[in-house]
Amino acid sequence: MKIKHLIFTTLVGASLALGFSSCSNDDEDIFENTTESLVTNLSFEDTNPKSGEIEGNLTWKKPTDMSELSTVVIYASEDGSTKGDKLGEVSPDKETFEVKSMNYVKYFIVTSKNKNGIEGLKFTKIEIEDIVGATVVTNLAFSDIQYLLGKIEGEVTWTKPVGYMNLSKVALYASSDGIKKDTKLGEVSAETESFAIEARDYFKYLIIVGVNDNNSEEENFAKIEIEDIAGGIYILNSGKSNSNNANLAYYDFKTETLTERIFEGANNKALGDTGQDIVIYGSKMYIAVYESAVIYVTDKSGKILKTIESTKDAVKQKPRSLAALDGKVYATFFDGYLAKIDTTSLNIEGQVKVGRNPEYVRTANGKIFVANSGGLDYNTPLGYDKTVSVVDAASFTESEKVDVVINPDKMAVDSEGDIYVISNGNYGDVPNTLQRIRKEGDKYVVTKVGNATWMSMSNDKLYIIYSQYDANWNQTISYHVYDAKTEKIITNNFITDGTDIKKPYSITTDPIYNYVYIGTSDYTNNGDMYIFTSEGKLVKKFDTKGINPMGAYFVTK
Amino acid sequence: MSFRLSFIIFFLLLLAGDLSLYAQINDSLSAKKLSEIEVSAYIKPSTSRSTSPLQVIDNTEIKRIGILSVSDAVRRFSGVTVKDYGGIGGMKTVSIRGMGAQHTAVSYDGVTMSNIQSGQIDISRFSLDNISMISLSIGQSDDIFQPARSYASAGLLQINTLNPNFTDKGYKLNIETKTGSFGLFNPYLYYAQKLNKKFSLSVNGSWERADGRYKFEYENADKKEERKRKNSDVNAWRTEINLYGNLGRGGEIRFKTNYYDSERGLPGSIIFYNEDSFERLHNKDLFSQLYYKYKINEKFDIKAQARFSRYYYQYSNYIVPQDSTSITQFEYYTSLGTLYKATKNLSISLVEDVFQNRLTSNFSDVNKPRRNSSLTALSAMLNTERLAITGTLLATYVDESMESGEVPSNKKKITPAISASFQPLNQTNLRIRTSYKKTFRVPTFEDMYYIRMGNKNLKPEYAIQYNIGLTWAGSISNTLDYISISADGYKNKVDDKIVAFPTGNIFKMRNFGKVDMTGIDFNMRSHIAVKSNMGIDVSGNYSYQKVIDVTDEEAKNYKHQIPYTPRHYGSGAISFENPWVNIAYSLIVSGKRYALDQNIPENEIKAYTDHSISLNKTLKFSDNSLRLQFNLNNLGNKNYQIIQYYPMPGRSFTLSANLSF
Repeated sequence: MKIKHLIFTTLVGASLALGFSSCSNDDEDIFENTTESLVTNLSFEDTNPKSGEIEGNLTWKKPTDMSELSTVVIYASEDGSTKGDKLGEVSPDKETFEVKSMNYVKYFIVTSKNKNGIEGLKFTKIEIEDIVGATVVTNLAFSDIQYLLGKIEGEVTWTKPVGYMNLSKVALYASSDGIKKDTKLGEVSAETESFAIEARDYFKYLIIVGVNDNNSEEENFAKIEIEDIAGGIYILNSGKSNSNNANLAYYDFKTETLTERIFEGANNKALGDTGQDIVIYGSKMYIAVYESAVIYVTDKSGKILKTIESTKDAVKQKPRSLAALDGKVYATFFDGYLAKIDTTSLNIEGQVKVGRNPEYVRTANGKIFVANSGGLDYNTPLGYDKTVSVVDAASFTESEKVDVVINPDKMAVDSEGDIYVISNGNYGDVPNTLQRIRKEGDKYVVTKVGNATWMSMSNDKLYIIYSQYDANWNQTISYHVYDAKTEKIITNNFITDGTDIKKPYSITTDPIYNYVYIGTSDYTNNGDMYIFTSEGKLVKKFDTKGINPMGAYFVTK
Repeated sequence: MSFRLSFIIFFLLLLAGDLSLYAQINDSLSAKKLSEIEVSAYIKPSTSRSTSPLQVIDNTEIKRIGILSVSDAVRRFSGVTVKDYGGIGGMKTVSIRGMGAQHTAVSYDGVTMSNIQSGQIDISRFSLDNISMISLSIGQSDDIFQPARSYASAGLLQINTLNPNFTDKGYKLNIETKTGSFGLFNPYLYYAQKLNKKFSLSVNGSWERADGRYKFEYENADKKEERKRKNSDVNAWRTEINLYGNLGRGGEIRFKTNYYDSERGLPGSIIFYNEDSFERLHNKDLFSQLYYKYKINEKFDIKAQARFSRYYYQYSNYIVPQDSTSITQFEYYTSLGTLYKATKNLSISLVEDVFQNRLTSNFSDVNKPRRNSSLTALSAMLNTERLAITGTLLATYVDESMESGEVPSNKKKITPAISASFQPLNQTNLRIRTSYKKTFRVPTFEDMYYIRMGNKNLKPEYAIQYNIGLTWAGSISNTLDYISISADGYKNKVDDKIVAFPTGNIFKMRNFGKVDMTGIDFNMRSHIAVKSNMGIDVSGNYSYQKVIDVTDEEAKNYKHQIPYTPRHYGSGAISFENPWVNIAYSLIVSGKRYALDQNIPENEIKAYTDHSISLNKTLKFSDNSLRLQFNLNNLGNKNYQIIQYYPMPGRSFTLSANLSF
């Protein structure tokens, strides 16, 4: 439409000019230019996004007859007939002129000069449109780093609008439908390209709209649908010895569904015999399978990246427990070694001899702690081991052994670097004992804290299960919470909603929800997982689809 | 052929047999065919007159079908589950109608074997050399003149050896060599000498070795993986000396000393990704037994038995030397009994067994436990032409003691058993039988003393059995000259079952389980006389066992079939005896089972069928004979699993040659 109009105008102009020239063509001061000596196909696009300013290349097709011409002259014009400011001259064989940033004019007029330097009467003109830059942001992105279900948090990023200079600021809104601006989250200057959303309830859409100088919002806006990253837990079902039925299940907090046999699905092979421990570190997951004597390194979906097997004196070494520190994953082998796995090469870089039948490994303050149970000597004159090995991470050598109650097994670390150790005792006159190891000066001091069978540390709270039994093996189970900072028992009845758990088997926690996961087992049937809030209220209970759930391991994929 | 289809066909065959029976009522008595070999010193009991289910496989049948081991024979009984850990060296135990192997008594030449430690007898220790008969009675046995201990279990597996039977020579010599796949070499020597008119002596010994390194396949996810069995070698010696004395007028004396030495690898279950296997087992078992029987007069018989046994068991694992275990069990056993024939039809017996069991081990905290037991059995049997009733009252007294420490309480119990068989019609051999038996098993030393797990407060575990059945035996025509069938339905209950019960992170033995059993057993055997020297034997059985755990209503396995107990199980054999080469085909079919308590697909062990063929030929040279036997086992070549992840060998052969002089 516009082009047609232009051509039409040009033609009318040209025919008029033709009329004139036929009347007075002998005047020396007058250059009766012909239509053939005019440029055609004028074109201009405003590349200056600011309102009221224009800028850009004016292009045209050079005249068909340039015999008389010396230059082509470009003018600004307010009305399309009166020449305003002269913008410049170019030689007639050029077809372009760069218009520098200038205030808006309605027309550009292009005429030509003859060899005498006289401008022709006829000209070509083009109506100029002030193209104002878009005021809508682009490349809007948001990733939820608040893994609680129903909560979001994180940085919104975008590319500022081309026409940001026309805006005073941009405003961010939460929206339920992507249309209505429900809640204003904040506003930032138009040049800014990010905004931090503080932890808040989930909303479905984020809207960013420009606010102009009149403090009114633009009509168009950008929006993005927000995904609530809720995370999930892997559950390692140890399985029954000699049954090759260890398996990995995944429970998703958002869909509230359990997917069973993740490992088998991802790798078309079973996990093996008696799954022992999982550590999720960086983008990788390390899974120790005891009787099968393998440590799998997988991605967060359970796909194998590397299978680590180790043999000492022609005998497979069986992994027991895992912990990560400074780019290394440490594994205890039940034959009395601590192995260091590099998380890049995924190879065992070295092994250091620790005590007999090491169980848990944990790290604190650049040291690696290993609980030496001596469990296999339960019935030999040697008896149980009763030490915790302290291995220096930097030199990877055992610096000392700290004496604790016999048969140490489980360990947990608080934010101050205190190590809590459960010694299982001898299932007879020496009961399950909870101790704390703390470095005082250059010595490790062991203090008895109480009794415990299982424990898990979360935010410096130690969640404890204590199972006692009488002479007839009737079991009494109690659930405690111990404050590792104040070193006081918070409660002896952690479960506050009356949930009755018959056969606890494991306790784990997560750092996001601060949930407490109690796995149950009768060693016969598939276990159950009870998920409690840190206040001891049941959130969810489900079948773990495997025997002996070792724990819940929080992951965001 | 699918498993289900095999079953249906199998079942139809049984039914077909059934129908023809009712179509043609025949009142002739059992025309059981006796072969030449059988004309020796034992009497096969009547299975159809028995008041409780009784199954017998004798020497003749063992040879005819080409049965290779005691467990191979027992697998062919109905109502029985043999747990077989695979291969020659794999442990094999017998449980009856879902009741657990500890409820099965195993007797050898009339004396019950014992294992005070675990309570279960590994029947792989016996060989078939010199065996005359293997029988299984479920519930009450009609032989009321047995040691009291034979009554004390839910069922009795009896293994009896052949007595020497001298014809015109004063000696017998038997040399056999068996060889086969997986490095099997098994020579056997038997020599019997007549000492004088009254006494004779026999000596036999065998050596069995095999490397057992068979290839097998197993499933891992959707894939099949292949391995070879490792650490599966067996090296076993079996020797026995017997002294037989015939004192005349029903007086009989027998003395036996048996020594078994077996050193074997325990290949263990398949562990994915880890083929390490270092466990070894060494058994040295010695026992001596004396048997004496005397007929005082027409009314009174007396019987006395004494036995000493020393079983040494050594488990070792050089990688985990701490696990090494050595246990020695001693038993001193005596049994005295009298049988009083009150009338022609009524007999009463009183048998008293007194025995002591002791155990020493390398366990630091088990202080030489000792058990003195007294079992008194008072039985009566009424036996008329059409009615047989057997009743027993068994009084058990068990006294536990230890060198030091807390002693478990003593146990006193009286348990009854009663059974009857009735022939309702004169014209037919159809009999109806019914029985009730209550037994218990005393906790084993392992149950009570095993470190950390043992529980001295355990009570006995009860088994209650009810059985009702029909039997019929007879001949239908000159061709189908012998047929016997039986069908029994039962309901059993095991209460206060001793189970390893998790308490926190350790196990304790507790009286916790309750199991209900409902089942049916069918048995059929027949003989078709083709010609005077040609015959076909067909036998088959089918068992249906619904054995469910009813311990805890809230447990996920409530009313689930207990592990390793197939709902459907059956076996069949057909053999053709002829003057040229005797041939037999046999089949064992088992339905799916569960490896663990919860009946979910992940715990399922696939159904299997096992086919085998046996050929044999006996060549005679005057007094001497040479018998050759060739077996082709597991024709389907499937490494099926009876115990999960203990694969059975694939197709294999055995070849044996037996020379008798």
